Amino acid sequence: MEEILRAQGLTYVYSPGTPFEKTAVDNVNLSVNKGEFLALIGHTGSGKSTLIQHFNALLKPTRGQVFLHGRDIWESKEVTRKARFQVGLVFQYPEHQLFEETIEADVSFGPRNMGLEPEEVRRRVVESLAACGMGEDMLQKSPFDLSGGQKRRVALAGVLAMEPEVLVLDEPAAGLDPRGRDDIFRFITEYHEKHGTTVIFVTHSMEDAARLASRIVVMRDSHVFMDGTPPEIFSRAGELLEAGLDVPQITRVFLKLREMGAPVREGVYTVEQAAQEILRCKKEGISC
Amino acid sequence: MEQIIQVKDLSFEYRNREDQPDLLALDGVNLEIAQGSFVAVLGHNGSGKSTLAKHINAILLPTQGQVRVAGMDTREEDKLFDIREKAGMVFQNPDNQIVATVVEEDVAFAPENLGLPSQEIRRRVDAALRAVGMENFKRSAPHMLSGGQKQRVAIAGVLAMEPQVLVLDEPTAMLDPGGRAEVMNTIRRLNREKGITVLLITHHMDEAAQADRVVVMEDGHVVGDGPPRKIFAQVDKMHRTGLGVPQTVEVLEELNRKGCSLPIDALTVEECAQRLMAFLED
Repeated sequence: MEEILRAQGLTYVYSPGTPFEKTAVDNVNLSVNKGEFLALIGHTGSGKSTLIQHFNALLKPTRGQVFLHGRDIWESKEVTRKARFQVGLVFQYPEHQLFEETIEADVSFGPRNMGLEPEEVRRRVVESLAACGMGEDMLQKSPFDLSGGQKRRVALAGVLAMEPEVLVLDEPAAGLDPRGRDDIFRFITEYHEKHGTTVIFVTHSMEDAARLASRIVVMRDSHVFMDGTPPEIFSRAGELLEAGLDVPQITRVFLKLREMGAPVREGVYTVEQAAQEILRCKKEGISC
Repeated sequence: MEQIIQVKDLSFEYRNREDQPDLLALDGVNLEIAQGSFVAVLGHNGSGKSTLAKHINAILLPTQGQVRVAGMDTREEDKLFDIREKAGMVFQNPDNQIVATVVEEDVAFAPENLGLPSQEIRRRVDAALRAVGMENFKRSAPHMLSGGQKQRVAIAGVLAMEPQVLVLDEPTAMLDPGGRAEVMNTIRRLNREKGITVLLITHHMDEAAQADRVVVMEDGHVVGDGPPRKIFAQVDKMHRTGLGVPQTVEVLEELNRKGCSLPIDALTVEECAQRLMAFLED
């Protein structure tokens, strides 16, 4: 597998030398492969938002390095600038950053800044809006007349229009209702499948991470606490709970069953797996 | 039991909005809420649940029908302040509700505006902060608090009016899991220990499952109303409304679809584990 992004010995200290000094990210090593769909989980204050702001050079490491395609993104001004287009960052509540009078103008902002030709900008705007479920009839509307879920999709389209190789999203579903959540994740997943874009998303929801990600990185107290596939992560559900992190409800049911002496296996994190596992135990007639 | 909130044939239409068509957000809603109960209103954005909430303390007035709070009709202008004292409202974003630079001053805002004597204000502020477990932060600056703590301060600000009804419109939507748990524990305690009637607007099923009663809204109508156990057992119906059910119910339903016959009304992890255990041992 080809590595696309790597953090090496990455450390970031806020307000160094003041009474508010805080090490938000502490010696983090993380290698992300091309095409991965990675969930980054952790408490508020665990360092996950600080970490991802390094990926497109918004923050400069206090110590350590960030590599994109094997090159240090702070190597030269030119490389730094390129990294900002290659890695697209969608902030939390990105709809707060909509500012233009029309949806077209707003989504064009990124690609225009890349110095692209007007036709190319237009193509990207139309395509990225379509990827977010919005037709050309929306182009001339004001982004401020849209519903919350629609606004967020416009903001996402604004980043997709730069056609980043790595898409980084900070809690893309925060504050949305179940339908809005499903929509936004569907668009992200479809885009990932169609373009092979590497996706890194920050979430508080273990259920979303379990359902969507091919790999989960758990952060705790500025460090990487766990890193693995969903089955690997959820087989350590007890540790996650001890660390005060959430696990899917169904995983907790299975922890409880094991506590009660049932011979069910560890690492169950979806309802389908759970039903299958219960039927397997039943069929094999394993007595409890 | 006394019905503290009575909603009768309530319809509400958003009219004369710039660039937007009129919208019938509530269509013939009937609802009675007993004093001291904990009711969750579950529904999508656009289902009318927030519009309904805004009728309880007369932020919105009915286009048709009637809303009574402790017997007072919300359309009677001279009752407006009494109604807002009886029914306090907490919104999604704590940052939009906190006005002062010191926690206790923020909580004192409402009782000060009620023109109460200063000893009474002091008593109410202390009691409200104690009720939400924030008494140790009374001299803190709100912006230094976590989201969950800020939301608890916002709840204390409403409690300082000593309302009988607390209406909360998605109070945990912007919080992390820890903050959500803090706020939900506070709400449950206020209901149980202080007897405050709670109307919780939410789209989190696990929160609704903690209420005594769940009202499901869709397209301006009430489409379900009952104890959570009963509401969440209607798996197909809940999926059709796009709300889904807790995983504890879903797994039992999935087993039934594969030929088992399990009772599916498990709302907690313990209940679900017990049902599955009984099935395995059977």
